[in-house]
Amino acid sequence: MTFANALIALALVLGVTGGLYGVAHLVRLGSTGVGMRPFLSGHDPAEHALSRFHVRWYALTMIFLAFDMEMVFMYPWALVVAEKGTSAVVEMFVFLAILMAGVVYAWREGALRWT
Amino acid sequence: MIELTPWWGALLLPPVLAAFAVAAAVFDSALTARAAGAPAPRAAAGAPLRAAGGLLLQQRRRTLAADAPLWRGAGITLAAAGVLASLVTPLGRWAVGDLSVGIVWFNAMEIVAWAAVWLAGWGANSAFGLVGGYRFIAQGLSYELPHMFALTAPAIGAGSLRVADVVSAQDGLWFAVWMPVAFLVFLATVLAMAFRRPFDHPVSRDTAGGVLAELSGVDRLVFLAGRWLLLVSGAGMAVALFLGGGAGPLLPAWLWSVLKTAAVLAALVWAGHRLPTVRMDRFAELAWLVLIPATLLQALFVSIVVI
Amino acid sequence: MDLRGWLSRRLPVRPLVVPVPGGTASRLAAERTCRTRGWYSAASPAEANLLVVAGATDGALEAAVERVWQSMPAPRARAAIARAEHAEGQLDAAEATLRDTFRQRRQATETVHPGPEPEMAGRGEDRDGLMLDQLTVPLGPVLPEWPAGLVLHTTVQGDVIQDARVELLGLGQVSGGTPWWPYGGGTPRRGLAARHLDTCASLLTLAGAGRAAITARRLRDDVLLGRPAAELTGPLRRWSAGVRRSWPLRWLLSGLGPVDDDLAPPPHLAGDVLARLRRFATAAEEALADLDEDGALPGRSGDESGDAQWTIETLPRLLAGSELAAARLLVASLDPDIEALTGREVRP
Repeated sequence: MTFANALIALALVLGVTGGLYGVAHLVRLGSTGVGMRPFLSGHDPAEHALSRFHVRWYALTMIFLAFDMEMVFMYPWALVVAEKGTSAVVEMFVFLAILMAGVVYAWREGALRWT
Repeated sequence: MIELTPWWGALLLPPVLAAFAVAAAVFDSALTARAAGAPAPRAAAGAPLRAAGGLLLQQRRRTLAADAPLWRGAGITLAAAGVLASLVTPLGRWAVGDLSVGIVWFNAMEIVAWAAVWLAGWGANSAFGLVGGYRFIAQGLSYELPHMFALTAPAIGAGSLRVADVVSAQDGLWFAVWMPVAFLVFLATVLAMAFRRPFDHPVSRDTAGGVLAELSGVDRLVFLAGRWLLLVSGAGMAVALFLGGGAGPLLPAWLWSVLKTAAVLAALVWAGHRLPTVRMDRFAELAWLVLIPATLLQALFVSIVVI
Repeated sequence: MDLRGWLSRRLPVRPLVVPVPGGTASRLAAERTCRTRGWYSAASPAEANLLVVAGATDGALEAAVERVWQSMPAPRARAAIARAEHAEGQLDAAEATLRDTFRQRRQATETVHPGPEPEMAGRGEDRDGLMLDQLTVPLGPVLPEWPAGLVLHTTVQGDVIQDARVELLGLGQVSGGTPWWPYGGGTPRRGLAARHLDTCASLLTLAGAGRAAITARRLRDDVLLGRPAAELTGPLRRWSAGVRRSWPLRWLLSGLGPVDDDLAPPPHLAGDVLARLRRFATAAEEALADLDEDGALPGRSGDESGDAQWTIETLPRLLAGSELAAARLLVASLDPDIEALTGREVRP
């Protein structure tokens, strides 16, 4: 039932969006402008902008992934913590403390600094 | 108790969210007009709808060598994610979806926004758009973990990931009262996931609108609508997880849900007018060294209370 | 029913104002008119439907404006405001064009000349010695919250500026003089207060402090329109105190865009972005103290051309290795008045 409702809601969103595109097609002042310059302060682009972007936060991405994996454990853990009691709490938060120690180490190494 | 609506409830979900979105946009526009000293607050109230009409009229554009399907798909994806995130959010006694992992569902749907916003920045083949798209990824890396830990706290408190259980677990006391850190962090991260000010760096003016820089016409309309829907979804979930859902005296439950959601939404929009844009070179440290430990301590506190 | 016309009449106007050297008075008049009419400025050509050129353009500047015009979708209109007193009339006319569905439909069929086909990005070493794609990203002359006539040709990797080269446009049209003072209801102090408020407004806008920025613009316009000093004191003090004491701004702007003393900056341009913002906010307040008197001026050295010359000479060094957002805030906090450079030998 839930998933049927999800599909109905999704279908409606797509339908309404399609409807908006349809209305826009009817009332628009002109057809889509093709080959428009991307905005570059009034200059022509010298290169395509799609490039290997210099992300300076790869280190951040790695510690994020560590925590993100941890969430896979934490969601189910949230369900059983009350019945398992103290041992579950200790285990989880010791684990989290280890991860946090990693964050503090990364911070001291400058991984959270941008430039 | 919360019950599942029949199939036509799913047809009501998008219009209800859209109504909230329009109301929030009107409030936002009225605040802007008041600050600018522009005449006629009434005109300001109509501005979002007039702007939407203008976008229907406006010519669409395709930039040089744009990745059109990905670029156009971004707005539709964002709108769909905004609506589907609210599938499990109850309105009073009714919910359109009831999943044993409702909180995880909400989490999963709003993460779709990452892809949508980045694609909008990438697809246009525009330097400013690309910068905006990557700014949002950097923002996500900082806000998402505090957000997830803030989501976990009420789940631990209720011993369930089902939103209905979380709502009924707040029978005596709202979670916002004894999980204030999780509540406040959740609200802040809702602003971040909807990239609204103070977390609007991905669409900031210094990069000519960032991911929004090249969007015009109905493409822009759908993208902006999706962004509002995402904010509304976040506000609705805040009510269910922290403010007791539809609980309240005298008035019917659905009305309490509506009033609380409107209040949270208004507070979020108002906060955006009060705070300057937070750049990720500053926020990353705050998020990782303050917000994550704070939400973890909150989760620890909640788990000690429940055992 | 004519739905198109109905929507056209209700369309909000979204101006994109192009500042031009020598056109400061026109820009101020246009910005004031737009603000009081509730026309909020657009961030890009795709969002804009009204292109406002504040001043006379020529050569490369004219070409840049034309490229921006070409990348604006219909409905669109343009207003060239050569003289400040014509601003309202020109904007009225442009608005009429904007709402004229017949003209807009005809205009929408015009073909776009996309210019030369871009190449794939080249590569270069980043600061860690990695080979990464490089893009040429010029900043200015048409960019929100950007000094008139300034172009920075930057090479970026991601959003980090590798190097920058300065070019100045549109100085051929400027006749020289001290451009800010004549518009201040007569007194130098009003002109100076307005100049500081204008700088703060741009900087605050880029910092995302929308309310403080709008208040700065309102105060700037009030100062220039000759509102009595007694009425301005209270609001200006409150605004200035708010800006100087704001802890979010302190957190976000401190340590950003530092100018070291060994670069020999003019005293009021030293320090970081936050220091400059606070200095200008204070100076605006001090200028107001005896707004309509002559005498020594607080804040700016009074040598706008010297400041601008120092800024354009030093910018490339300040910007190398800087992130785009920081670079934008840095430029806004230095806010060189390019039109003051006429009559000097310009060495970018």
